[in-house]
Parts: sequence; C-alpha cells; structure tokens
Amino acid sequence: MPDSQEVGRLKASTESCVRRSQPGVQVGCAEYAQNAQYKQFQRGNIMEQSEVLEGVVKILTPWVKNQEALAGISMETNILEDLKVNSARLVDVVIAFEDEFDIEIEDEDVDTVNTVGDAVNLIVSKLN
Amino acid sequence: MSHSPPTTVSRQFRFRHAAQREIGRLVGPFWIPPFVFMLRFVMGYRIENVSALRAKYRRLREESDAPILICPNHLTLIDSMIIAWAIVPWWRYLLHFDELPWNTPERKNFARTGLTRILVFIATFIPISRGCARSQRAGVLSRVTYLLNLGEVAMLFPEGGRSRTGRVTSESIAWGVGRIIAAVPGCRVLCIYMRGDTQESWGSVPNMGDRISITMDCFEPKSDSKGARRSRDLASQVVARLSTLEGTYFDGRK
Repeated sequence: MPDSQEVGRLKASTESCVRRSQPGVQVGCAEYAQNAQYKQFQRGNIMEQSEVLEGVVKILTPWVKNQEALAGISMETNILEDLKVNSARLVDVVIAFEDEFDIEIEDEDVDTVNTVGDAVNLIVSKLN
Repeated sequence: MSHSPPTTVSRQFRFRHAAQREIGRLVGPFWIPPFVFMLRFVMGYRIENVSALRAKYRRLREESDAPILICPNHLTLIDSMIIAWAIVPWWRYLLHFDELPWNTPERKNFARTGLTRILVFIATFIPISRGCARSQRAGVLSRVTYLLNLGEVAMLFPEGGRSRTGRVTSESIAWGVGRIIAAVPGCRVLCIYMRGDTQESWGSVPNMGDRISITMDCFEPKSDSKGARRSRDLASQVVARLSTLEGTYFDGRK
C-alpha cells in the first residue's frame, strides 16, 4: 500500500504519462503499468485510508502522552516513541481498532505496527 | 493469516540456548552455592514454610509434563532469584540445572556491564528492554515459547515491572504473557505471591533479615476469544489470580 508521498508521486507520474500518450498507445508507456497501484487507489481506497486514519487518530488520542506529537501526527509518526503511548496499553489500542473497524487482528500483526501508517495499512488490508 | 502465536526461533537462538544451558550447568557449582549463601546468611532472608513449598512444586512437576510458566508478583530486583531458591533446594540445581527457570529481566537493570552480561548469561536470563521495538519483543516471546514447548520452566512478571504501588497492579500488564500462554498448548501458570514481612512497597531488594512469605496457585488459563483480545484475556486472568493471592496474604495478617 503506497503512503501519501508515494501516492503523490504515482499521481504525477500517471498524469504525465497520460499527457504524453497518444490515444490507443497508453499501454506502451513504461510507467503506465506500475501506475495501476495508484489507479486502484484512485478508484476508492484513498477515501478509505483517510477515514481509517481519522479513526486511528481518534482511538489513539486518549492514550497519547505527547500532545505536541499528536498535533502534528502523520503516517510516519511512531506510536510508542513519538506519541509516547504506553507499550502495555497497545493491546487496548489494538482491541479498540478491532471494535471500531469490525476486524480481527492477530498477535503477529501487532508486531508489525510501529507507526500510525502501519496501523492504517494493517486495518485497510484487513478491511479489504 | 495464521492463528498460531510465535513459536519459531532461529537456529542461532537454538544454539545459543543450548550453549547458555550447558555453560550455566558447568559453572553452576561456582555461583549457585555462594549466591544462596548470600541470600540466606548475608541478607538474612528466611522463606516461610519452605519445605511445604518445595513439596508442592515438586508435585506439580511430577503430576504432569505440561509446561509451567511461573508468574510472580514483582516488588524487587531479585524476586526471581528468591523464588528459584524457594521452590527448589539449591543443591538440586547442581544436579538438575534444567530446573532453573528461564527469566526475562529488564536489560537496563541486569545487563549493563560486561560482568553482569556474563552473569545474566550463565544464570539463564533472556534480557529484554522495556519499550523496545515490537520485533525485538516478539523475538523474546518466541524464545520463551520455544523453551516452554521444550518442557523447560520459564518465569515472567505479568505486571510488566515492579509495582510502584506495592500492590498487584494491572496498570502496565504484560500482555505478552497471554500471548505465550496461548502459544503453548496445555500451559499451566504457576502464580506466586511473594512478600517480605516488613516490605511496605517496591525496591531493589527485600529488607535485610526479612521472613519471606510465599503462596502459590497453579491453573490453566482459558479464553474463547481470539488474537489480541485473547492475549489480554489470558494475561488478565493471571493478574487477577495474583490479586486473589495478595488478598489472602493480607487477610491472613489482619
């Protein structure tokens, strides 16, 4: 799942590709195939990701000790190191994700969650 | 996605585990008796009803091959050492070193210098850093799971650290305990409540000359939940059992 920066890059690249293409020869554009990922995003996942991000931030807020980091939260924000969420409380956060998004998260999945983006991507992948 | 919690460890760890066990066994006669001497005669600790405790623990070990995870309350830095001394006679560790429980102390407390790192190694400790990366924590949990599945005894503090209130607390509950229980079929949890008779709160070591009271209760936690919810449920059951033992301890002193 591309992050917001990657989405931006893919979008610009796709638009450039379409501008340079002649009707019927778009498939010849070298960048076109790899931009399928962006197109999939364009079809509906961007909204879903932003909604998930909003939900994740809402759930994290009561556990955050560093309010400054919360104000500037992004996909790259580390949940434990930047937001200073107590690691022992991470399980409560994860269970709140399960309840909010009606998904089931395995213990192993939790090990992959370091940043807000990791959490968002995990939830989006479970939803899909 | 697999529903099985982490059970795989690297070949490097399996080798390290075997080496740690064997080196610990070899040097055991040089550190175990002096250490017990220090606890008993320098610090002056006495364990209440020590014979009954050892007999109970021996029965638990003999009645089933199911793995045992020891989950004590946590007030001092040497809780694990006192418990190891209390449940098995020290000379037995010289003959059956495998009975010494694996322990997961905070790296900051025990593995700071070269010398303490050596002691940690020979005393079968697997240090862990509080607040470490999820992947590192998962590695330690995998190791403990692996050891329990081998039939060895491990010790984890489910409160996640020394209780700052002096009482059993679920404030920083170590839900990895639940994860390990879920990963080890038939895992029995031996809850141990330990407290020196003059011990008011947490600290580095119990007060010198303390008579140490130990009670224990073995059970097999169960949960119908899945994933993270199951881990939390299992870990909560362990802490609740410790809390009950604590209640019994204080009721008995009224």
